Amino acid sequence: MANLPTKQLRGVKDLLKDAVDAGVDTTEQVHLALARKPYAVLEKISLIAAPVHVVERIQHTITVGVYQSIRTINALSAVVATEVIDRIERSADKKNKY
Amino acid sequence: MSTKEQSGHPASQWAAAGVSILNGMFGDYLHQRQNGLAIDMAFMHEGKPLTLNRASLLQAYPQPTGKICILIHGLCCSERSWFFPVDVDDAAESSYGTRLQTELEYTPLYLRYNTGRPLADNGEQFARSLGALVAAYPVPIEEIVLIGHSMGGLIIRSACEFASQRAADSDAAWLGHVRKAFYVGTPHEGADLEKLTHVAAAVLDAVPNPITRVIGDVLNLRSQGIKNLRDAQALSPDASASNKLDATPWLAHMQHYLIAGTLHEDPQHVVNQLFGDGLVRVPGAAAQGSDDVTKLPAEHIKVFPGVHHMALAHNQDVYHQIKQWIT
Repeated sequence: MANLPTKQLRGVKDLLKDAVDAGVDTTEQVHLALARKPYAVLEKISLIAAPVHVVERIQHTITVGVYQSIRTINALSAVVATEVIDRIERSADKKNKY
Repeated sequence: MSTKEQSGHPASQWAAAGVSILNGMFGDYLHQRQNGLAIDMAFMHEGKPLTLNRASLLQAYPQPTGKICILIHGLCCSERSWFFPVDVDDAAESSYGTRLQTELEYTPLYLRYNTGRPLADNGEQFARSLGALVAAYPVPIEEIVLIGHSMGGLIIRSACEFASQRAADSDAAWLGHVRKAFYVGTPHEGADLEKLTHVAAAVLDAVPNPITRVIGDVLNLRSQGIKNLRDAQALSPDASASNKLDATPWLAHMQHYLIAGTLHEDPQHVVNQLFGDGLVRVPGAAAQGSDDVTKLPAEHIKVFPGVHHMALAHNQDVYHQIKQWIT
């Protein structure tokens, strides 16, 4: 990384953020699609359809929450990385001045 | 330009190679997102982009000659792909460009570009860059020779097509100076690996299963530059029949030369029939000994058995063939 100019470091940071976001989106979609399958079968049994629906909603909420928290951590990491790169850039600018 | 001068620290070389690969894989996305990793097209000198004005050109080339050779690299590569490996004693720190400079007084210029962008976009930008180069070049230009490796050959054809459609424009004047173009390992008939990937992605996408769809989607993330290699289409930005390579004529005022490689020494070996140089199959004309497919004379086509795709950009025999054709 030390051999990349800050413009490219910012590029790496942006690309990693985009890649994690895209990966989380895709994994979430697949996860929810696969998790839906057993509930789709179970909700056809009228006797347990109501509690199955409740359980599915709880699991769905937890699942979406977990993925959202990963997105939030990813966004925060990007902010921290931006600050670090800004400092590197400022420090390099100072060195160039003197 | 020596290899040492242009490469710097080995870690920088790896970083630069990584950036070139990323641009090849996702270059259109990087360009759209204005990502700092996106490569801007430029002629490179000692690892730095050249500013196209008279003073900068004279600073980079204190004794420019009227004969220019321009080397255009292939997918996921940079101008470094033209340089002979330094462990080959008699080829140390040289490329086809430096040798043509020493032996035939050509001034070599190396293009670097974002190989993931659509072929037509790169072709158009290359054509405009050549226009700017010709306008700023400090001595009268006698001739321009274009040497393209792999995708670089298609960029040449795209740029020539673009300029030929705008022959009246002053920035297309460079086309009149081009005498010869060399296509080294260029997939004029499309790249099999991309065709295979296209089919695989379509099949995986069609399967009604979320996991196979995801794999198909991941395959489809590849850049437009790679997708354009499927049938070497979209050479021109115009959505017409001439958009296709097989409908793009070989410009008559130039001489065109094809160079191909094969994995196996035996030209008839089944490995060569299937895989060619590893990435690009030998053009039909060369394989069949006729000039039907490429519409080029057979004497303008040369196959180098046992020379794989990447080695075609820095091979002694290939260089001697180019030199023989140039002189």
